Amino acid sequence: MVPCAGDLNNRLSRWATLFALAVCLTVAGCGDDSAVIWTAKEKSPDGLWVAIANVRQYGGPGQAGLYTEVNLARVGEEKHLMQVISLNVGSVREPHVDLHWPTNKHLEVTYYGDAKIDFQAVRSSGLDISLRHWPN
Amino acid sequence: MGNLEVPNPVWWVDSQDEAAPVPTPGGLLDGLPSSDPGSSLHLLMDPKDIATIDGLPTTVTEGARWGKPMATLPAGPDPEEYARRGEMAGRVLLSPTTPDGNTELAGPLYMAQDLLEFRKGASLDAQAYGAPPAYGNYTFGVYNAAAGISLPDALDMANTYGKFRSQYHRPDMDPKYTSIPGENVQNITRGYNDYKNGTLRRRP
Repeated sequence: MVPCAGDLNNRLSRWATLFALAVCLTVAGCGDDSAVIWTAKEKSPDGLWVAIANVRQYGGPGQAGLYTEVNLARVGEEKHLMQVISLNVGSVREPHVDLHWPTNKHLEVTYYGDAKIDFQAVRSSGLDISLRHWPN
Repeated sequence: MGNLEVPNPVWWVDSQDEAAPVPTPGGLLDGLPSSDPGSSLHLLMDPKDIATIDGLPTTVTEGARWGKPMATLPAGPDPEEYARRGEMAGRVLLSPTTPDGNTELAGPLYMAQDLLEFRKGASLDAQAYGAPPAYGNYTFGVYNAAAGISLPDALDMANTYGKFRSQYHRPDMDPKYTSIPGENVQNITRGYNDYKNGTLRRRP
């Protein structure tokens, strides 16, 4: 009789998954199973600030995720990012965000398509931040 | 254990569905006509052989003939592909020895190999084919259900992997599986339940 999948008892299921996961993690090694798949930068007109948008894709068993973050930094200090917007993006096929500085003190971010707003700052370091949605 | 109720994933657009999904046995048997209830012969046969029993050229994924296909299945491998992979893993897990005479470690090692294929950009990563993240997690649920892994164990696996390999800094992490977002838990559960309930969606 050929055993049928779906008949695994709990003990075997637990042991097998633990062992399989241990092997998987050992082979996969350390580090983050994610990558920035799209990025954009836009400097303010006076050149003091830079807005940086990243789309990060997560992979791995049960880890799929796609998130867009917009950060602000002083020009020359890009290692010290201040997150101002975070979006949970529905699909990688959609365009992402546009960054625009109408004035030295105002960053305008436009996002396209379906996305859930996880975090939105309206003011940071004396800068106004506005978020607009442009449906597909 | 009972099935959990979860909301539809974001790529689900039921308003576009013209008919409710036709319940089918799921996995290898999904898309095939109901077998003789008194016979379990179909469990031992290659699905291709079953599909040609009546002499009609068809395949197990031909939804147009056996059930109304869903219009909103996203890019990426069909859920049945994941079901097949999971069923194969389940069979190897249950075998005391492999056909090659290897030890019982072969099952977990086989499954570990599949888990590695879910990594970013690997062959079972649906996102690598352009599918949305929700579908990527849905297929992981399908795979585990087909392999016979319990839902809590499948979610534990995802959570543990997330703890070591995914540096999420999200406000919407799951309250129980704290290393992955709640949305991932919902979509894994959805795929798991759809396989168990025989309601996997098929390509047109």
